[in-house]
This record gives sequence, C-alpha cells and structure tokens, in this order.
Amino acid sequence: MSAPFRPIADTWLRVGLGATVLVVAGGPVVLWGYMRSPLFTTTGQAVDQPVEFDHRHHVRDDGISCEYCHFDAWRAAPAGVPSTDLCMNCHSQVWNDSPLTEPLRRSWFEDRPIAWNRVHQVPDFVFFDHRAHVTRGVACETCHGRVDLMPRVEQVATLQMGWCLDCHRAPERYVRPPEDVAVMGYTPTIPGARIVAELDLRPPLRCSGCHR
Amino acid sequence: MRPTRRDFLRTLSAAAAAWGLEGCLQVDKGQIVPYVRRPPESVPGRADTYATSVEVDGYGVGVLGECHTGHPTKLEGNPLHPASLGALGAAEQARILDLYDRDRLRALLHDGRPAAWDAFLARFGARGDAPWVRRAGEGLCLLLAPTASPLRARLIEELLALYPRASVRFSGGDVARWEAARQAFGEPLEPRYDLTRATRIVSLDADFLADEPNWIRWSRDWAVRRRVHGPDGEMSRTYVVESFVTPTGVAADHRLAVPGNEVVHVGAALLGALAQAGLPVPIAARASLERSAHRAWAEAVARDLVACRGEVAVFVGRRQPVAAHLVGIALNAALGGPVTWAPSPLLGAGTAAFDAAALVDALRGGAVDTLVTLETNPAFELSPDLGWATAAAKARERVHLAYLPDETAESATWLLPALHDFERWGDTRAYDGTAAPVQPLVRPLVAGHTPDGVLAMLAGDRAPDLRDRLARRWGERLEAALPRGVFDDTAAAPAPRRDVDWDAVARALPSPAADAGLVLDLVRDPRTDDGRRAHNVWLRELPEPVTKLVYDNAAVLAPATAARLGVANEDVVEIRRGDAAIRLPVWVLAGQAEGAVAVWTGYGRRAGGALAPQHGVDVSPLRTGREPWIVPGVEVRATGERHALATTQPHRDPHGRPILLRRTLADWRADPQFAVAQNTPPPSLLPNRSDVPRTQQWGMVVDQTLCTGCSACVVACVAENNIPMVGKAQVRLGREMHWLRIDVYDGARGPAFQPMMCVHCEKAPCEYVCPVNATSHSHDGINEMTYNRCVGTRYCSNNCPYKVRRFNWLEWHRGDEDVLRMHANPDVTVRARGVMEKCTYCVQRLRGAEIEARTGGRPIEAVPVTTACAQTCPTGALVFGLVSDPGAEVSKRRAELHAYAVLNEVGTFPRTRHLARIENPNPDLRS
Repeated sequence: MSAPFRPIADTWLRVGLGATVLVVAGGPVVLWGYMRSPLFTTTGQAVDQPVEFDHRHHVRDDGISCEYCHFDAWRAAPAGVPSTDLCMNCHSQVWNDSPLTEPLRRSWFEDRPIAWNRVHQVPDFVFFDHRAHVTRGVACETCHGRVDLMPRVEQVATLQMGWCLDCHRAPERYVRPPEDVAVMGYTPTIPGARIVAELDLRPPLRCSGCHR
Repeated sequence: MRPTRRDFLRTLSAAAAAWGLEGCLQVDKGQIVPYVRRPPESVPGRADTYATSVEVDGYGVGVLGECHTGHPTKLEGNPLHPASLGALGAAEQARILDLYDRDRLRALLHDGRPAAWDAFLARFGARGDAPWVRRAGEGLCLLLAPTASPLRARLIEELLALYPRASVRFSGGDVARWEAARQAFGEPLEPRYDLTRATRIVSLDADFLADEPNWIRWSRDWAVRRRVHGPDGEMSRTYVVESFVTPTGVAADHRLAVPGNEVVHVGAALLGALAQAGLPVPIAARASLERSAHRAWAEAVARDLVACRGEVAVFVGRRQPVAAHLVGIALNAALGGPVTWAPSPLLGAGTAAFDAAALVDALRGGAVDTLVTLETNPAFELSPDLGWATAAAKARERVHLAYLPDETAESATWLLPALHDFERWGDTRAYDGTAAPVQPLVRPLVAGHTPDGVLAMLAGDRAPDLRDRLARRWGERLEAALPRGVFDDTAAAPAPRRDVDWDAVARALPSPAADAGLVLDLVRDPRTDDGRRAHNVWLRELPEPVTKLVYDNAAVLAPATAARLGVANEDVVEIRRGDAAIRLPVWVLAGQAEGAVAVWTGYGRRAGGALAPQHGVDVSPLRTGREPWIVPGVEVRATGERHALATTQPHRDPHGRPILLRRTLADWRADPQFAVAQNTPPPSLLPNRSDVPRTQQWGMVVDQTLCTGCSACVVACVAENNIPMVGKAQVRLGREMHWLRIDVYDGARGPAFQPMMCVHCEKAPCEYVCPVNATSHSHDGINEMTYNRCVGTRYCSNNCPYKVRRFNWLEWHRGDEDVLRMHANPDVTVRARGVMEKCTYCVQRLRGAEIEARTGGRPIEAVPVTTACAQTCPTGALVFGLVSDPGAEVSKRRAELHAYAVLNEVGTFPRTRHLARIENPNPDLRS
C-alpha cells in the first residue's frame, strides 16, 4: 500500500493556503481600489459627441458663461443640454457654412434632435437637483472641473456618495458667493464659513435628501 | 520582415489588453436628447399642470393633470371647480392609467379591416352615400352616453338642423329620479343639496358619500357639519336605510338594514311619522307608519327631524324606483330643508331620449338604417330582456366609437377609436351647471376622435377642429377659462322653491308589502364605475371599502341568511329567478340586510380589454328593464362548489383593544378626557428625539369621524408613488403593495373605517432592527426608507406593530417597463424585487417644497405642500402639514382632545395621530 499523499502534496497545500490568504486579504483591497479607479468611476474619460463641440472655444475665446446654455441649472433639477434653437441663435449668423456645424443645421432643418452622449450620470435612485446647488453657492467647476479647458468634456469628480457627503458635511470648504458660481478658475476671497452663515446653508445629511 | 514568435505574442497581448481596457473604459451612460425647438413654458424636470375636466355620469368634474415631459402622470381635483373643490374620487384618478392601456383601439376598423377616416366620411359625411343623407336623416339614430357638454349640445343641434329626422338618444341616466320629479313638480328636476346647512341627513339607499352623482361635493359639504372640534361642539346626524353596507352607511350614525324593496316602505313610514308629529303632510300617510315593521324607528327619527326641521336633507338612491323618489320629494317638502329642485344639466334629461325600451323597439321595427353608438356600451349595459343584440342587428350599419374593444364593438360594422379624456378638446357642465373646458394634456397617441368630432363629421365637417369650435362656442371667455379650468359665472341660478303635487305622492305610497322572498340587491360598484372601468387594474385591485374584496364580485349575505342557507365564505351559490341563474361565491358580511343578497354589477364582462373579462360574474341574466336593481323573489341554493376570493383584510374584530377609538358625542361630553390615556406615551428607555433641536417638523392627522372609506386616497397614493399591482393570486398570499390601506373594524355600533399607513414613529421599532440602516429617522420627523440600502431582511416589517411595510416579493413591474416609463412619477424610485417599501409622507413633494423655499428665500410655511392622500380626500379626513407651525391646520387638529396614538401602549410615539371616531346617535334609538 502506498502513502496517501505524495511529497508534492505538501507544496500544493502551502500554495493553496497562500492563495487563500491572498484572496481573502487582497480581494477587498483590489475591490477597494477598483471602486475608486477610473475604471469604475468613469472619470477622466473624454466623451465623443455627435457634434465637435469645444468648450474651450466657447467659454474661453468667446467668453460665453455657463448660464447662457445651461440656464436650467438655476431653476430646475437637470442642468439641461441646450436645444438646437439655442445653438442656432448664434450659428445662424456665425460659422453658418462650416462643416463642423453641419449636424446643427441638419437637426434644425430636419426637425430631428441631436442625441448627445451623457458624461455625468448618477444612479436612478439619486435625485440630484442643480438648482438647489448653484443658487446656494456650489460652483459649476466644483463638481464639473475646468470645463473651459476641456476639448471634449470628461467627468472629473467620482460622483460617489462619499464625495457628495464631503461637501454636505463641510460646505464651508467648497462654497462661494452664488453670483460667482459660473466663474472658472475662481480664487476664494471670502471665507467659506461666512458664506455658510450668510446663506444659512444646512445641506441635508439624511437619506431622503437625495434618495426618495 | 518576418516577425519572431516573441514579437507576435507581444503584439497580441498588447492588443488584447488594450481591447479589454477599452471595453472597461467605454461605459455607455446613455444619451441626452434635448428639444430642437424648445417650448417656452417647459422646464425639464418640473411638472406642468393643466386644468381640464372629465365627465362622471355625464356631469363635469374639474381636474388638474400633472404632466412630466409631456406625459400625464397624476390627476388632482381642481380647487376652483364646484364639483371637486380640489378632491377627486378613486375612479376618476385612475383614468390616467387608461391613457396608457395597451388594449385601446388604435385604428378605424371597417368590417374588421383597417380603414381610413376618409372612407368613413365618404360613407357618412355630408355628401356620403348612406341612404339617410338624402332623406333628411331618416334612419339615422345616435346613442350617446349621458352628457351635459354645451359644445356637444350645439353639435347635436347642428346635426339635427341638417338631418331633422335623425334621432339622438342617451343611455343610462337617473330616469326614476327625473320621472318622480316630473310627477311631483311637472318637470324632470334634480335635487340640489346644501349640506353645509343640513344638521340631519336621511339617506334612503343613497350612497351619497361615495357613489351618487356629485358625491365629491356632497362629501366636502357633509364634512363641514360633521367635523367636531371638542366635546362642546355640535355635529350633524346621518341616518341611512339600505341593504348592502355602503361607505355612507358606515359613516352614518344610524343604519337601518332592510332589503332594497323595503326602503320605500321605511320612507313612507317616516312620512307617516312626520304627519303624526304634526308636520304639514296633506295626504293620508299614517297607514304606512301603522303597518310598518319599523314603526318605532320611524317615530324616533321623525321626532328628531321635526326638532331640526329646516335643516334636514333627504337623499334617495339611484337604485330606487319612482315611488321611493316621490316619497323622498315629499319628505324634503315636509321638512323644508336646504334642498331645492333644479333642471338637470344633462341633455335630454327626463325626456324620451333616455328611454332604452323605445330605442330597442325602433331598432326592432327596422326603422334604423345606421346606428351610431358614441362611447356607450349598450350590449353590456342594457338588461338582456330588452333584446339589444337581435334588435341592433337589424340596423344595416352599426357605427361604434369606443376606447376599448367592448361588447358593442363585437358587432360594429364601423369601429372608431376614441380619444382619451386627456387627448381631447371639449367642455363639460357640472351638477350645479358650472361649465368647464376640456383641454388635452397630451397630443393624441392614436388617430382617433371624440363624440364631438364624430358628430361634427356626421354634420359635414371633414376635419373637425374642436378647439376652434370651442372658441366659437365660448368666444373670448375660453382663453380666460383654460388656465383656471372653469368658465366663471356659469352656474345655474338658484332654483325657486316649488310646490309638490301631493296627489302624485299619495298615488306612489306603497301598498302593504307582500312577502317578496329573498331579494337580490344589485349594487353599483363605484370602483369600476359599473363595469366601465373593469379593465383598470388600479381599480380592480382597490379593496371594496367594506368587504375589502378585490377583483371578484360576490353574493354578500347577512350571517343569519347564510346560516339559514347553510353556506359560508367562498361557497358557490346559485341565484335563480325563473329560468335564469348565475353562480357566484358567497361573502358573509355583518350588517348586510337579512333576507337580501347583495351583488355588485359590472363584473363578468365579455370584452373590453384584457383584464375586464377576468374574475367576477355577470349579473345581467337576472336583470330586467323593469327591475334593473332590485330583484325580488330569487332562490339561492348552495352548489357544493368553492371559489377562492381575495380580501386584503380577513379579520376585522379588534378583540376589545383600543385600536379604533370611538365614542358617541354624549359619552365624550361625559368623559372629555377619554382619549388622553391613549395619547400619553408610556415611559421609555429609548432616546427621545423630541429633545433634538429641530427645524420644521412634518406630521399628519387622520380624522376617523370623517373617513367614509371612499378610497380616493389609496389611488392617489398609487399614482403618486408608483405602487405596483400584484394580481389576485398574490393578494391571496398577502402581498398587496398599497402603502395606504383603509382598515374596517366591527364594533358594537357597527363597522368603522381607519385609514392606516406608516405613522412615522418617533421611536420606530423598524429602525432599531435594520441591519443596514436602510430605514432611519430624518431631522424633520420622517421615518425614511432608503431603497438602495435595503437588502430585504424584512426584520423591519416583522417588528412593525402597524403592519404597514410592504415587501417586493417579485419584480412586479417586469414587462411593463415601456408603459411605466410614461405614467410613473419620475420623482419617485421604482422599487426592485427584494426591497421593503412603505409610506414616506410623499417625501419627494416635501423635499421639492424645501428646495423651493430655500432657493426662493421663502419660509417653508409659505410653500403649499401636502401629501397625495390628504390632497385628494373629499371630506378632509386626512390633514398633513407642519406640526412645528402652531398656526397650521394639522397642529390644531393634533391638539384636539380626541387625538390619540394608535397602539400607544407599545411606545412608538407615532407622528401621525388619529382622531377618535365621534358619533352622534339619536338618544331615542338603540342602534
């Protein structure tokens, strides 16, 4: 009768034990890292659009404020992607024969909307309201970054709950006077605590503030 | 260059890695599709509200339709409309679901084949080839649903001007009521009640708080005199005589249960008792009293009524025959209460246009070449002894305008798709005569028409523009009326007092009652609007207020009658009258009149959408045109079969526990503090949240005196909070999902209603046991439910003493995603399987109001906000608001002496307080 285990079995056992330890200890670490990596949060990935729209040109060169196109952010929950007629306000006059604005004209004359690719998305169970933020001193660039420097827009913040709560717990670190929310590259001049006191900011920390 | 093996592998792995990485990086987040040309009034994410009106039994009720990005999602009553004053019933609110019904007719069908509207016009238009076109309309017969629309009246005039020999008829209608008024006053009038001035109300088989025409307004007005603020307050008294237990009967102080055919005898006895008490009753009515089995009752009631004469309103139900209505007219005349008689706003009311038998005779005689039925379903609604099917077949062309493929559509040669109430232009007239515009909430989803459109086409208009016609009918007033939803100053002038022809009453007084044997009382089901809405799942799964049955109808028997017949719940019985018989399951109900079996009508449809034919039994074989509602002399026998019924409340005995506190007003005066013990929380070791510094605090009060069980709140909650329907089999497993239920508990003085939803305990048992903090307490007093955290342990539900938490056992919305996307409220999460849910105090509305207040720089008290249930409650039994604001209505009601905490003894400190049910019985009557 031969031995039940061959000498190699010892090695297999050690390797197996080691692998188990690695998976148990390392798995959470890998997951932890993955949840924070751009692979999961989709930050830093410039998104292609059906129109070669360049925020650098519109914001920096032309000096158009965020509010001109995304005016809904001041009065509604979604910030709103501008409708074609808003683009045509200018582009019926300028660059009205450029091939770059051809999709605009096609949309306008064929009465077919432009389907823009989404850059920022929160899960369906989150009810985010732009109006509640931009009218209360949370700036565009605080969440969306320096859009004026982006040829194609990319997501800057993780949009995860921990990131939201960072500000909801300590708004004084992020807020600015509401009239400056659309300024890009803002340098703080007024202490946040004073703004929080003046605006009486009490960001909700309870679940139903965002989950309904 | 020849690649080496190493180069090859290197390239391959790099490509694979890049490809894999690319797959990870390109997350598809969907698209945003903005308008091309944006409508100036639209704000994405914000609901638009449009004022329109709908017809209920032909009478207009004003509604406000809430639309999200063009999709109507929710209906509320229009506070400016006199028939609504902001409230709306269950059946009206559920119409929003019909708009997205998959079964609706989408195309015009000619002999079953799709055809164009031009083909219809070529046949029936002004130069059509129908034979009556050149014979002044001879052979053209139209049958319409009852309507009071001024625009439709004008279109009918136009049509009759073109075709003077055409006949226009209407279906349904309160024919007996009009006939009684014609005999008593010489004109077919309708009663107008001012219940804000009525301290005594007598209902002879009238469910005036849940089903009579204009019941929403009656409920509103009834509550004014019913609400009692303290033991020193006054409240009205309501007497009900009826067979089946209706919501009105439960809400009343005294309910006399008699079979439907005896109601008129009780009414006559009451008239005799009034004469005996010395009121001017110029006919010999005393005999009715003397031979009445309910003499003592009638005398006691009469004494009370005489003491309050001038403030008494008497209702007679629409099921009752002409004689009962005449007795009601006499009672009102003798008592001189706030009741006047005015012409009906319905077109053709009280004329032969409502005579169904005459219509059938005309059809049978072959006088009708083309029969046009517009949004009415005679093949189901008329009693079968009239012989509609064979008579209608004599018409060469049968044109039918319908929303769903109903029974009448089966034999139609031209089947026209109707537009939904919220896709059309038109107008309505309310019970009191107030006109209101009908404007679309959404562009029509199908190429259909309305009755107005079809009338205009028949009158020669090839492409009717109803908005234009409406503008021509109303002129400049239309623009002013559209945003408000009513045409100002169109209510009928106050009706003069009229003299009663007492001879007519004397002729109507019933002769001594012969023993009628067992009586079959057919009862309108207000949920499905007598079967017309049997396709609507919100209404089919809505528990019947008293029995809490869903989906099915049943033979409702009193316990004694059931014992005599030897049957119990769910036993199938056969109800036979002559050769006709139906078989349906029994439901035993305390309070049902002995010697009568009550069955809801409108079930067992043959067609009319996928759900309509499912569950329930059609009662029409036992119905006759002469006795459409009360069928005497039926035989009932057990068959030995069983049929499973689904009820949401199988047990209604509180076993003496103080769940539903109720007192008579006299008892309350004797012991003003009776509820205080139930309002004093027991000592507790748990932290007291009331000590925490607070901002605004939300809360609710439920006034059980005012709850009539009409269930409008339940449907409002369903629409607002995307509550799924589960089906009969799942209800039998106890898996219904309604966040708000109306419990009914039996007591010594009869049943009573208790609306119950999450009471938002300050020391909530659910919160302590949730392992993942999915349910937690907010700073403003809301017991929050966070679906995305919930892992479905159901500990919270097990620990909830009120049993108000609902668990998603299955993916209820599966397969409905496309419809859901259109009708669901986008401000509320659609819950997935495995998640607990419950009433949130409509937190989406509260947070929206807070954002409105904070961004607008207004105090929260200045932003009008309430929950969906409280908004729609016709009696104001549900009150929601800021309990931290001492001036708010909810704070005042919470502070009343009869406020208490349900299950106070378990120490949950519920934020929602119930007000004890206060009754005002006649001291001379024992029950």
